[in-house]
Amino acid sequence: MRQDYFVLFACCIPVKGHSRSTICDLQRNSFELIPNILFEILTEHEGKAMQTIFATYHHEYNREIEEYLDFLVEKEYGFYSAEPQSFPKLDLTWHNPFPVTHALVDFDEKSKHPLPHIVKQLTAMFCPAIELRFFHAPSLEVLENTLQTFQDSPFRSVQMIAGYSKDLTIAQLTALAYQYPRLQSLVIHSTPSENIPASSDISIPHLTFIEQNLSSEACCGNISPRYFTVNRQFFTEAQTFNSCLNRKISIDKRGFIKNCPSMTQHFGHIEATSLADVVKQQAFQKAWHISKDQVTTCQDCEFRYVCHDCRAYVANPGNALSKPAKCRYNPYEATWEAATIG
Amino acid sequence: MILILSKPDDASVEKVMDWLRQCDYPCVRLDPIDLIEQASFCSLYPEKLEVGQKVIDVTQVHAVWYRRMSNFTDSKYFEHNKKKLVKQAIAQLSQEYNAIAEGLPALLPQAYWLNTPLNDNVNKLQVLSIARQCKLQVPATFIVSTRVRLAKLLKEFALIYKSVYNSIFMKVDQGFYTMYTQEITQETIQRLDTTFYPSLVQQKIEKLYEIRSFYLEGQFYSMAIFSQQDKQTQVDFRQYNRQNPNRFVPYQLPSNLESKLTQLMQQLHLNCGSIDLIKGIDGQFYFLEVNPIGQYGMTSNPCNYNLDQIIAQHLIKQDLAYEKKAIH
Ligand code: SF4
Ligand code: SF4
Repeated sequence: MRQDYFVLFACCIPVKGHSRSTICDLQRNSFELIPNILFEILTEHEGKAMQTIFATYHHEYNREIEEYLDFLVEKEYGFYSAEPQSFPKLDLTWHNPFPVTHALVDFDEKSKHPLPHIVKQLTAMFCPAIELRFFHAPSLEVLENTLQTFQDSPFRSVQMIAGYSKDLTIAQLTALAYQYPRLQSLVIHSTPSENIPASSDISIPHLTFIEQNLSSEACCGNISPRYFTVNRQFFTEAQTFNSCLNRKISIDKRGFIKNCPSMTQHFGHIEATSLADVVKQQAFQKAWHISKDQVTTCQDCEFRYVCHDCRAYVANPGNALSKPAKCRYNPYEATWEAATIG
Repeated sequence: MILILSKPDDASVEKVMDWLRQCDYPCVRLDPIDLIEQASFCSLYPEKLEVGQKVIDVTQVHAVWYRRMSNFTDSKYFEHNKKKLVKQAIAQLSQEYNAIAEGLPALLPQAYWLNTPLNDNVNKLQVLSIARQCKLQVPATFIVSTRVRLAKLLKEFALIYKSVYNSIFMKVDQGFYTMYTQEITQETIQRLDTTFYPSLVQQKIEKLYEIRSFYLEGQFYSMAIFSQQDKQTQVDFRQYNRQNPNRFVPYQLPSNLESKLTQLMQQLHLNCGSIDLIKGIDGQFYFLEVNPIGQYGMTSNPCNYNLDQIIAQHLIKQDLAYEKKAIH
């Protein structure tokens, strides 16, 4: 034994699930699955000298414990040290200066809500990010006008999804992305498979064509390891807030102001109600505070601080705190189910 | 009202301003380069500052945050005139600009200054000497210009080379140069001429980890950097490894070390800055250098120290306190 104590790097945080645990590495954006016994050693016996830990397990598992910890050192999750008190834990408080951090605005061909009116209000709140979803295939002109609305606004990120149309060429979309550097991603959905361009034909990273049909808000709310986000922002926010809806505001395709377009409850229509007024309402903020720790099943899941939540599609519509309907993970058995939902 | 002097692309300033906005606190931002880019007028008494369309009511400014400002050579003025002007004239104009920018404190003598242009350029050798007076350990330090001397030193110590002046980026036609800290080996010495430009050479400390500490008026926000696992960053962590980034974790300095460092900062008349230290395998802390206006984001983000908000609150507090003072 080189040193007396084992210390996890503060950015590597163990999270306990029902049948196994994770170490979430907030700096390298990954996680490691570990057995619950190792979680116990790392948390309950944190800060204790190695010899004390060995004694707790009656010196029966010295070799196993050392092997576990050596493995963590090898993977650079932690280190041995003589001065564990010099390494405080990460403060997991989430800090964010914006009253609204992201907005989601939906459109289909029948939508009438004017974007400039919405952008103006969001600008007054210094909202930094917006996502625009076109369930239909808008023309190039519509896309251009949309992006033009954000010139000279404080938005730092604009993301768009739009339906495929053969009139939108890669060259046009690429030019659009160059002209409007704030556009962070543009996803073209419902692309016929034969029209999906080879990635070598696309010269910019933020333009993607997908086959998937995203022609209504019902396409949202999918849960999969593919969508896990392991970073400090997400992890700290998820400690106390909802990892999808916190400080989010949405305008659905008919112009109703909601937490999320898929929800039935609305807080007025954009024509008649100001966004700033809605954001201040307690009833509106209620969804912001539903953290994974309150959601059944999720609260026992080792992925709860890296997994996006969904409050619109829940497993048991009678229980607002039931787990996302589209999740196929069962933390009690540590298995991903192929087809069953629940 | 808070005045922020900075380049336009300073990300830390943006973030602090987000917090000030959240509190609805009045604040203006000025890049001193605008004094030469736009029609400007400045009166020492009665105090007045007008830059382009902006009229800054200096009597209302009670706290100033000084960050890095643009260089003369970044200006449009320079772009337009560089062909017409001889080298000496450019040097002179650049100095004139610096002197005006550095003179801004004269316009706001009653305000609180978080960092000031007056003691922005700390001399590394001077700092090391004062650090020693404050009873901090510093690595043996030499200025060397001959191969023989360097070879002799290398028999005694492992050595590194670094710049005497700020090791910031140097812009050249092809891109940027950075003067990284580099290890000196037998091979380096063999490649050298018998005499060379005087260079700062320091004893290389075998380290457990590096420490970067952000200092704000007596408070320390420290971070340990583990780069030892990784050959690429062993000598200087700024040579970043993107695949396997170094570990950046919160760190608690011993309190006696904090008080020595506070003493140092006070002697340097710095109320804010980033301090670099090494914890050696011998268990000792070695002081390396201090940067008055550090990019504290690299400390704040990984450690979740929330320094943007802390700085915003600090500026508000000082602005209110100095406003009160001004009234009485
Ligand atoms: S609550 Fe569900 S449906 Fe609504 S935005 Fe979030 S993930 Fe999508
Ligand atoms: S159980 Fe909850 S936290 Fe776990 S994967 Fe499913 S939705 Fe995510």
